[in-house]
Amino acid sequence: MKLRSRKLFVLTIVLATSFVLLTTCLSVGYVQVKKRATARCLELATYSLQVELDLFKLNWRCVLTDTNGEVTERRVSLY
Amino acid sequence: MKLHKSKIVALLGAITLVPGCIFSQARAVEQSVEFSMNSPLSVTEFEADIEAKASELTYIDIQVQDPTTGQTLTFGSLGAHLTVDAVVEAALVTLEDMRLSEISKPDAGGKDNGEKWTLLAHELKDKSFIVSHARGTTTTQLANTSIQATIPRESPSDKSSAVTSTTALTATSTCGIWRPNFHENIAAPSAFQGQRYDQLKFAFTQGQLDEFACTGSTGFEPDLVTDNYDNLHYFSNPVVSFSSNMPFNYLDTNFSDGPNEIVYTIGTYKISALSPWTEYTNYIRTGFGNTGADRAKVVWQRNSMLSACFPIFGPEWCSFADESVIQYAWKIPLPGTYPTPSP
Repeated sequence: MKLRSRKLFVLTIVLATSFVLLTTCLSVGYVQVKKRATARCLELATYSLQVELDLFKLNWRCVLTDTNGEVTERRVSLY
Repeated sequence: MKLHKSKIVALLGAITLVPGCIFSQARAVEQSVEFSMNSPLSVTEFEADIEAKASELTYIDIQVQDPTTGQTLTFGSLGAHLTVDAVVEAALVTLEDMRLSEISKPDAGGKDNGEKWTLLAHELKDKSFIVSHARGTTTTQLANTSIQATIPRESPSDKSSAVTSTTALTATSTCGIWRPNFHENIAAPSAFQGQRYDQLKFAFTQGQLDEFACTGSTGFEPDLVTDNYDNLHYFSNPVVSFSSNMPFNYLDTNFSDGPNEIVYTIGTYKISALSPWTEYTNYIRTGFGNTGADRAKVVWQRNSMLSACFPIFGPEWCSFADESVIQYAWKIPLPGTYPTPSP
């Protein structure tokens, strides 16, 4: 019984650590890929832009607004 | 003597694991690992606990109180074999660049705001400041530091983010103008020979800060973006020294930038700490690029922070743009002052 609870404790620690590491890696990966997409969208923009991830189409949407307020959308691939 | 099965397993485990642990520990002691220091230290503590014991320091930033305004100024240096003394030397060059750019303005009439610069220089020379962040390598665990997670560096490729389609949309905006007012950009050769600097000055009104809060973004990055489509650049990359009077500032990484537009950024991850009507100045210094004349634009970015990665990697790796606004596209001359001062 004691051994089993110790195993459970170790398993919990391992799972929690793995979860934190995975979340962290995914976060940094997401940020860096989004930064890259933003840099690419910036080259296409004349006034302002917003970048959104479109998971269904597996690409990024660059929503570009020009100085007249006209909005266009460009898409750049995920990576 | 009868041995239980569990005891045999434990014994075998000990025989395999103990030498393995000792071996890996011994290797860990010999191996140089990257570390970062994110808790502020006094100069004495830093020199004794970090500088004297680290094998190499590659980044140090210090925070000095401006005696005339009460603002906190950050001075940072990047490079090899850094010391606090080297950062002080670099900060003194920064102050000299700022002083010279101020007295060379036509409206200043050559008048020197001497007291401010002298007091700041004294604070630097007397080491009356705190060391706020440092990064480097070490062979032993240092107090007040954590092992830095390393991120593999790759060169960005153009094919990675090809444009795939264009569609017209209708405008969407819920908050008002959140970007600050651009005041001035000054690019010139530095007082330190062989280097060039850029100063980007801007200020928020109360209304702009309110609109910023309305957007929900928490971070702000003013980018100086230089034109590298022709592969000619006034500044080299990377930054060797920087300074900012924005609270909670950080020098942003160029990791994900493309080759056509080179971005120099000092951001803040706490926009709520910025005051209205205060002129903020971001100063960066680099080596010489490969041309004597270039052009730039300003991009204001409002950012969000991913809280899961922030405590481990720091703001430069964990903030991403929610919206960017471009101003003065390729109108800013490098070197030069923009807007051109009236005579």
